[in-house]
Amino acid sequence: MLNLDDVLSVAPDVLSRQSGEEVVVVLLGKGRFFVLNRTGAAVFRMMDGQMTLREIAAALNQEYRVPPERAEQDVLALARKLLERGAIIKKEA
Amino acid sequence: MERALGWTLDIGGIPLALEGPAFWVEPFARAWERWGGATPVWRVGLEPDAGLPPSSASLFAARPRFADGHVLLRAPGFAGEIVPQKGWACLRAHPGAGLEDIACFVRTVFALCAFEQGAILFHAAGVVHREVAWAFFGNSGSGKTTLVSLSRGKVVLSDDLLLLRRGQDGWMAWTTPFSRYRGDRLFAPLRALLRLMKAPEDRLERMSPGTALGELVANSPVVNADPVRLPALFARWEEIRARVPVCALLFRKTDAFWGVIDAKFG
Repeated sequence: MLNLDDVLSVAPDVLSRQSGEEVVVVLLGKGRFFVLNRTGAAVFRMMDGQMTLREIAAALNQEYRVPPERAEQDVLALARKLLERGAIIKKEA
Repeated sequence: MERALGWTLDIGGIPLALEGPAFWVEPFARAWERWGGATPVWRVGLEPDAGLPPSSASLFAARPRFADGHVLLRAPGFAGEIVPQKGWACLRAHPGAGLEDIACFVRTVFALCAFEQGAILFHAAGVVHREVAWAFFGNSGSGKTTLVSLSRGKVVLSDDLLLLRRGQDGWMAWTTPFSRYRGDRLFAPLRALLRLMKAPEDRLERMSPGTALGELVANSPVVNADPVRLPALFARWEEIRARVPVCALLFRKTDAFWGVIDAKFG
């Protein structure tokens, strides 16, 4: 289960490419891809193995003026989806 | 002793020599006769190996593994290796291996060879209409074969795999022998890339740049699984996309979609 103090990073067999405002994420091991919109792309870029999800939500709030509570909910929801798809991995404490 | 044979497969000016026992090479030389070529760029050795177990699964299901510049394709009864830097590939297979599996290996080698030559093997059907090529892409089940069967009277380039290669005046779509339609060896200027979607109406729909790029990469077999080549694959598709429109084609089981295409592209 993820929480806002978790730190995530991109999985090793994942490659991404910026295309306009979107990001295409390719899961090499699974032969699948998905596309993230502008804010999804920003969140994905911040999953660098350093920032907690709370810090990412705060940055989203600053950069895109998303209300703090909504930002936290959105970041958590996206992180869960990406984790489920195998695009990111959780950094163990 | 079975005599060995060499035969050169040439798709879109990209030649590949098949070398091995006659019982494996000859059927391809016959079935793909129109794609016979001359001086090969790459060599593909086919070696029967009775020491391998009889194949229990199709090579088609095997995913290529990329490591240290080599590509390995392994399945029970098969041991394939491709070394792009040397333009060399070899498939050792149990002597009872089927031609479909050998063809699968040849397709895999060709996908890499084509990419190294600046081209792309594209999982798409191709139809010539008004003297230009229309590439219809999508996963299995998206309607490629249906669309081809609805395009009566038009020249079909392929119902499954096209070769896209830069020509003097832009990107061209070439026939490949990797499909049920094996007509003449032809090519035509690429006019549009259309993502197929079966629907109760005929309509063209915009695709976002990211979705279009993702779908095009997803339909670039073999190369899209290689972490080293993937950035170049993205770049190549972006180059094509800058010149050739990409959109989704929603279509019914009639040929009315050609009217929609004509209305949009003239």
